[in-house]
Amino acid sequence: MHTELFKTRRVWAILVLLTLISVVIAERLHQPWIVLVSAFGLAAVKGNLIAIHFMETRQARTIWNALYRTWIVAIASLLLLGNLFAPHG
Amino acid sequence: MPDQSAELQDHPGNDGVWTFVFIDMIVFSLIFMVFLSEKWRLPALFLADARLLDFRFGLANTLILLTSSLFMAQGVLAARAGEAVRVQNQLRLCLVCGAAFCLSKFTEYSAKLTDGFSPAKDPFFSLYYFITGAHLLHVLAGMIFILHCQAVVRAKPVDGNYVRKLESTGLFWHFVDLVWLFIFPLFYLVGAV
Repeated sequence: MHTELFKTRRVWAILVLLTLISVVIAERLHQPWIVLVSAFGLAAVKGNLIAIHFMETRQARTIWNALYRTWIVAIASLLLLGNLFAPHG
Repeated sequence: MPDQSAELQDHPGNDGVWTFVFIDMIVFSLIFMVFLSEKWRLPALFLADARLLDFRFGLANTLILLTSSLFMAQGVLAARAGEAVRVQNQLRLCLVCGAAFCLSKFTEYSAKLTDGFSPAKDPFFSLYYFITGAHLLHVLAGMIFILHCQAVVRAKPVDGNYVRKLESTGLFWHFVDLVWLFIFPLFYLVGAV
């Protein structure tokens, strides 16, 4: 159990770190495409970490693992492309 | 007496909850598509309005939800180890995070409403309140499930059925966190560019 606890806390620390990185990139870099790719790319990475380590999709039925992780990649791609190619007004 | 180890060696949660959460994922996908189509229709308005949101609220809420997910995952591990007291402590911490999220959201809503940014102002704010409001309702529902798990673990010892129940509650709670991971950049980070 201690190993599992350690792994869980390590995943949480990585999630917090990735969140802070995405905020720093959005604040410091002003090229829209870099901000969008990092924001939604890191969201997809974080989503996969949550799915694998917290939701335990790998231990669930194969269909759920496939559907949940596909959804994460699909929604991140949709939001990234939808924002990246949005008209600038 | 039921064989607890046999119940535990199977998949986490139950299929009903995995299905329900997946349907919820599809619903949020459709809502995100509506957001994008409105953004394409009114790009200048969406960019200008997104800059009015305070990313510090979004960041705080993200950190609160990630931390609550940690407590939930630790609660599930404690339940599998049969440690009822640890389960109670972890669920209590999870509820504190849920309450902190609600408080932060209400503070943000109240600040925005005071400044005149109501849901009726324009399509951006309609969707902002609708999407974050729908998410907030999920947080509240998750808190009710956690309160139920808290009440059950106080009343009787941890068994295989309880572990399954907590895994299902945890699955829903992590989903709430997962959806927020996309709401955060969509409203708060994209506004920074």
